[in-house]
Amino acid sequence: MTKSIYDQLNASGTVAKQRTVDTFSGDQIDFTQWSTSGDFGFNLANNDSSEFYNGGGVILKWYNANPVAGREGVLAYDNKRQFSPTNFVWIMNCKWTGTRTSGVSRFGIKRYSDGTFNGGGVAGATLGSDNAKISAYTTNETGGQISVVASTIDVDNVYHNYKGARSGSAYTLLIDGVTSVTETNGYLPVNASQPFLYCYNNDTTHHSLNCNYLEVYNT
Amino acid sequence: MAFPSVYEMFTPLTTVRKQHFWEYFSGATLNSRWTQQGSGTPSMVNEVDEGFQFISTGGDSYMAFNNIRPFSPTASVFIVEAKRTASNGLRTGLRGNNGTSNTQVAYVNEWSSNSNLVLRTGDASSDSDATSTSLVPNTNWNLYKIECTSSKINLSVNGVLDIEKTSNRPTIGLQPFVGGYNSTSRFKYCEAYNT
Repeated sequence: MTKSIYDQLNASGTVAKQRTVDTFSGDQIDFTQWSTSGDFGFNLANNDSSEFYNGGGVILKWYNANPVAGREGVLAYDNKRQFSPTNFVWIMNCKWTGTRTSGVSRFGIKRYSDGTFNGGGVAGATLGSDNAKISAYTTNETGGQISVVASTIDVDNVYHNYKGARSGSAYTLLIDGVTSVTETNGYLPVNASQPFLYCYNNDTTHHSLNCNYLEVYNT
Repeated sequence: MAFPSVYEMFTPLTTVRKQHFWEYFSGATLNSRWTQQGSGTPSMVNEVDEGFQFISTGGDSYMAFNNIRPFSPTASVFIVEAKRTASNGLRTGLRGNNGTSNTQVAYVNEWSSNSNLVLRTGDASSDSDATSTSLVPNTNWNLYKIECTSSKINLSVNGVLDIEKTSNRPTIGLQPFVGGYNSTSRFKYCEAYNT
């Protein structure tokens, strides 16, 4: 029996590259690790309904009773960028809640933690108004060129497992370990990045993003 | 190397994992995920192979998730490494509420003056104890495992199944807690997950 997590993840004698894991469990987000920017409230889900047994985690949502169109918010690492833009894996369990046209949620890794999203350098996934299908979402470094490549899975309101990975020139999004989509436009980040979760309001209706697991590591 | 990711240690990518939390009680301060309930003094222990210490005063007191309750009362596991270093009670397990009520709980009550270890559980209105037939209270490190299933709650101690309890089982979402009753307790590992 291997006694260390290190040995489970790394070949003998190998110096491990940076990795972060968050199960989003407990009283609150560890704000010594995460930073918030923008207009969304960030809370740990406290679901007493039956669905919580498979859920829990962090939920990003508009904290006001009256959502405002055009508002957005980011949960990230306060611009502490420890992850390679070209050799990385991120894994997240996320659930989108709301009407698809009411807004958009994106997650993965990006360059900037600012509330204004289009700060460049994104390699993630998008749920909501970007596309009717769960899609890979990437931008080039300035954020001026955006690539949304759709999978075959409709955006829905249930948890999925997402894995974004890049090794060299190709960025691939894997959904539930089976369905994959590869970014084909070449709009990809070039600078060091940090994990992020993001929401944007298109209109005045509520939508939210749940996440109950996050892992990012360099490869 | 056995796994590419921590995720895949426990769950294949084809499965959306259920909530799974663990805590090593290591570092300068306790992670902010924990919130104190009741009177007491929490601290990190600056000794080899130690973790977190909680001195409980004024009766029941503990560290928990402030009523953030992601764990199922009928399909979850709680594991903790704990020891009591003073008289009175070490108490640790799962509970559905803050405060000192014994409703909606499933926890180990390791009381210095009792003859045997106790598993205490409570439903929405009543609680009751099941007593070990063999394990006596002690001040050693012990590994406790509480399994909540749809038909019973099991307590294993140091890898051996000790108590199976079917009465007065919790019915709402649960949070982990570590603490005691007018005692001093130490913890160096805690894990909880839905099954």
